[in-house]
Amino acid sequence: MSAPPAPDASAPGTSAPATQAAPPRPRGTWTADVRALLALEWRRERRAPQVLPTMVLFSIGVFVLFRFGLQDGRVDGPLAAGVLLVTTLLAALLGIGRLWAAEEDEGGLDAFRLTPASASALVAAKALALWSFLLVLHVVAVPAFAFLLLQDGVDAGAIPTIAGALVLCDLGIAVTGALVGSIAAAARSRELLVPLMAVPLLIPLIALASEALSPVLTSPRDVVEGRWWLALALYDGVFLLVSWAVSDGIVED
Amino acid sequence: MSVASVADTPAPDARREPSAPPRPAPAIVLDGLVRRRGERVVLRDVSVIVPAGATVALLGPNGAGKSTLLRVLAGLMRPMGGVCRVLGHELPAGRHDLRGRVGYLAHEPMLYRDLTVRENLTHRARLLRVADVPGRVRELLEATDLVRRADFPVHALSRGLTQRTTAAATLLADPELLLLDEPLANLDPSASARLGDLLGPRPAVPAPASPASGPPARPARTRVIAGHDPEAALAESDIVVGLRDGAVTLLATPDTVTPAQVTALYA
Amino acid sequence: MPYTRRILPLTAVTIAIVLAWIVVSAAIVPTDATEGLRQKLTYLHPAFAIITLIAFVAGAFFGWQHLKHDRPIDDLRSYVAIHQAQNFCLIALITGGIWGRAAWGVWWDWGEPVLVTFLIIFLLYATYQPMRFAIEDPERQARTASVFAVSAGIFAPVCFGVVRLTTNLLHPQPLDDPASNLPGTAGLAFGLSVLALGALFVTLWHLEIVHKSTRIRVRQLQRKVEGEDAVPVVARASSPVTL
Repeated sequence: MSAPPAPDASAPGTSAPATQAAPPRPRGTWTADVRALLALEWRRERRAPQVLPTMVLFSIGVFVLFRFGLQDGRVDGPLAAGVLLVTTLLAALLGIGRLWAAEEDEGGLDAFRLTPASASALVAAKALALWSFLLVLHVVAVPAFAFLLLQDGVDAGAIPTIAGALVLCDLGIAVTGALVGSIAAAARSRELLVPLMAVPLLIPLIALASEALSPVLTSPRDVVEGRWWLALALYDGVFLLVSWAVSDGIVED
Repeated sequence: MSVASVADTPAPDARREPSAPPRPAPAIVLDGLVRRRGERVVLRDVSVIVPAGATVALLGPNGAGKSTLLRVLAGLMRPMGGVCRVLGHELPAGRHDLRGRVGYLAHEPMLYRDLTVRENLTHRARLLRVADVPGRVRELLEATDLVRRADFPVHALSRGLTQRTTAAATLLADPELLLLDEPLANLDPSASARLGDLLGPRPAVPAPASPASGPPARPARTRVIAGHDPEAALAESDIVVGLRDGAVTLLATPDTVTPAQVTALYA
Repeated sequence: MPYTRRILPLTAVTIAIVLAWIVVSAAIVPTDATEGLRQKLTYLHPAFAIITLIAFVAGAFFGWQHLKHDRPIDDLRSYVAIHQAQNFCLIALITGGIWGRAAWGVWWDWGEPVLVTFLIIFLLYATYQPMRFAIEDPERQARTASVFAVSAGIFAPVCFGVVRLTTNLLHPQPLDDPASNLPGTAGLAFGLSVLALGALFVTLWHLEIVHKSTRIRVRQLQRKVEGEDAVPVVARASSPVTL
């Protein structure tokens, strides 16, 4: 999408003081738009914290729930990976539901469509915002998980692997979530549709991430097979492509 | 339909400045425009030609299709039939080229409620690729008398102040075409006068002989104003378009409109 | 109206293929000595699964066409393909369960990638109608549904691959297995089953499109006669699009 030929001058109107010749507008780039839109998401979250505190508190609540639900509470191996990832998925659902709410309720989408910025920039910014929220969530939630539930704690050598798997998993959740959130945002029953659509779409992702995580949560630690990394990256890639391809359909009328 | 008669009406600038350069292409050309909502026809066979720089008063009862027409002209809704050319771009294909050149002031404020007035304007200006963002935002805050409230979140503003913020946001890119949906609703008389000036007509500035010799060329501002106040609308418009059930039932210049025609529109 | 002329020839061809399929798989192919009758299920469950997957991808293709060209007919094509595929998906799940019961003595096996994939896909597509009818604006509804159709249509094969990767292969591959002692006619019966269900799907797809566009046409005519505010004789909710 190219920037339209811009009118040369900028003046607020007849009553305002006449302005001198303004330099030609800089050619807006896609990345600059994404940066501006991502900054807006974070500014709104800082101004009225909603998504992050909810996701963090919810995750810790679920860990406590598992502690009692599993009676003895301590987990390791595939069970630990499952508890951590399912909790992440459920917490993400809360974020996905809010992701496009302001766009729908406050007319942000219409305002956006009056600007030359491209639809894919908005979808990318939404996915990046959710990704960053999920990464921040994990900075808090993974230590809490290790402290509250993990059988033998995390050994330092496993941290890069865990971080890598979660980064890839979060990216997949974020991209899929941005897509699902936008579909659900158009509907009356937004809150009900998000979990219905997101859970089946994310089952394969959680299955792959679980395969990648469980060896390092087992004691003694095991090596993660390379194919799980590859599959996770492929899954993320496929949904990145899909979101990019349908972004016009999401934003346009 | 007397499209031709209106099309032949010279643009107001041309009337005032006989020495002006050749008349620019019309800002809006609608020929048989159709828009449906599902199976319902919301706009049927709307044909109007608006010269660049003209002001159109869009009148009609609730549900006549005024807001839909404005949304179609803004490129927010696709026309489903007929010709719709805005600022030289055929819609819907050319709607991307229209972005940033059309200012649309809708019923809804289209502002993020948690952000301040300044943040809202700055964000929008960035996406609109405004050259000097802080300067332009300051300029509009002064023009709309919002400097003191610039750092208030939008949810803390009254409806009138929100409307002023929306007007400032509409003008950020200095659009050639202004689409105004009841722009002066919720405003006190002084704000109304101030905003009326700000959103008012503006003649074209011809290209200077040499780039250094004067202000750069600027197209005239074309305006389409939807409203329910026929008297005010007639006073400031060059063309009156009356919509009823999605069809144009009145198309005339203000001096030829009779009170009976206006009454019939709302009957 | 689209496709009206195709209905009769399509139905005739479909009946012929389905009859051939039944005759070949029931009478011509010998019943397997060890597997017995349950081996006949080979000609039912995989074919349903294959056609379902193709149909969901076709729904995605029409959804993509709709997003690109903005023609309401493409939305109708996509909607009907998905709607029919949902039915086929349900049948694939049920026949799969029966096969599992016959072959391994269990109705459900988590190690069976086709069954598991179809459960996930079924759950996803089950949200298609609730999503669709929760969107009030008809144009937005159509466009959002197309976004869903494209995303889910690409997801379906991806999901199949992932589930296959993460489950232990239990599924019999009777036609690929070189040691398989199936006679050559079994291959023919399997091919015919896919062909027959494919033809059935295409015919049903045409029928539903004709049915839906007829309803739309009736409402248009009624509106012409009685005016824009006429209360439709035929309900609106079941036909999602306008032509």
